[in-house]
Amino acid sequence: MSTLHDSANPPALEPPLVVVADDDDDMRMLVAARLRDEGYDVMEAEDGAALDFLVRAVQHASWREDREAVVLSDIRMPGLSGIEVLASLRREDWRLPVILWTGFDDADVVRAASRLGATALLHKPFSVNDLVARVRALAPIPTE
Amino acid sequence: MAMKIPQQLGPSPKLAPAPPRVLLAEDDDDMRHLVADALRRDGYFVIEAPDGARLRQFVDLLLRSGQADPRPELVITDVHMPGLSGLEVVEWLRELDWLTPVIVVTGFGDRETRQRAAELGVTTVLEKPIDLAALRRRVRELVPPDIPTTEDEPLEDTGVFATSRRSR
Repeated sequence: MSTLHDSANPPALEPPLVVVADDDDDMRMLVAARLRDEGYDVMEAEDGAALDFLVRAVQHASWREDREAVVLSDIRMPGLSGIEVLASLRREDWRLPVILWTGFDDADVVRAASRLGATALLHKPFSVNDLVARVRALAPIPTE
Repeated sequence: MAMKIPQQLGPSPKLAPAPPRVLLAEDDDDMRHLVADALRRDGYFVIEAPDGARLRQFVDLLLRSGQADPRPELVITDVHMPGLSGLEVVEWLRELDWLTPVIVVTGFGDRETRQRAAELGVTTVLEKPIDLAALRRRVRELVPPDIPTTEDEPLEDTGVFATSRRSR
């Protein structure tokens, strides 16, 4: 997808977009900060409604700009759960890669995540390094 | 410890053309959900902004991209919302030279809004209570979806999204 631009000043390659959703502020801010350090354009959601909005906004940006985007989310949050939000989006044939995490060891949750086509389901506590490595594998930072 | 669920690896596959995007800004939750659901069944990808802040956040996201044309295909906005009035949004879009079609929703008999909207080049002002069929028709006129639907197709609640009808 090309856009018109001044050939003397080519646009910088846009970093991939990442949505991080968790009502645990410490967790969310830690993951977001780490990914920003890595060079990602990170947006944070503190509940299900915010997640729904951001994922749709990012999906739009991703289509429009042909940018990679990844969604990272806790499964359980106030309001709409991460699972409910993703289920509603799947019905619309939405296909951004998503990594979910949960503090609960629940077979139903694993099945639901699988049906939603989640790329991975992590159990808390998990290694943030591991998470970053997974994000890099899904959406590498473009290099010159 | 992680459970790997085999699924698509790497970037999301672009399997089908993206549906037209509608940005819907409305602070009345019930009305917003009603309109969003109706438009989704009509084949649109609806981004719901429940207030001015989320609307601003969306536009900021697009502005940061520096792309020549990041806009959605259509904006539907209530005029009276906490944090930002719908017309401020339109002024903002016009300043950016975004000629995105806009549908403005206002209260009954609000002449001031109609006048200002006309000055801003907004062609469609709808008054509450919203006639959903009229809104759906207007949206289709402004932005054809991928799949044509019957003019007066009733929305049945079958509990199943009509994905089989879409040739994606």
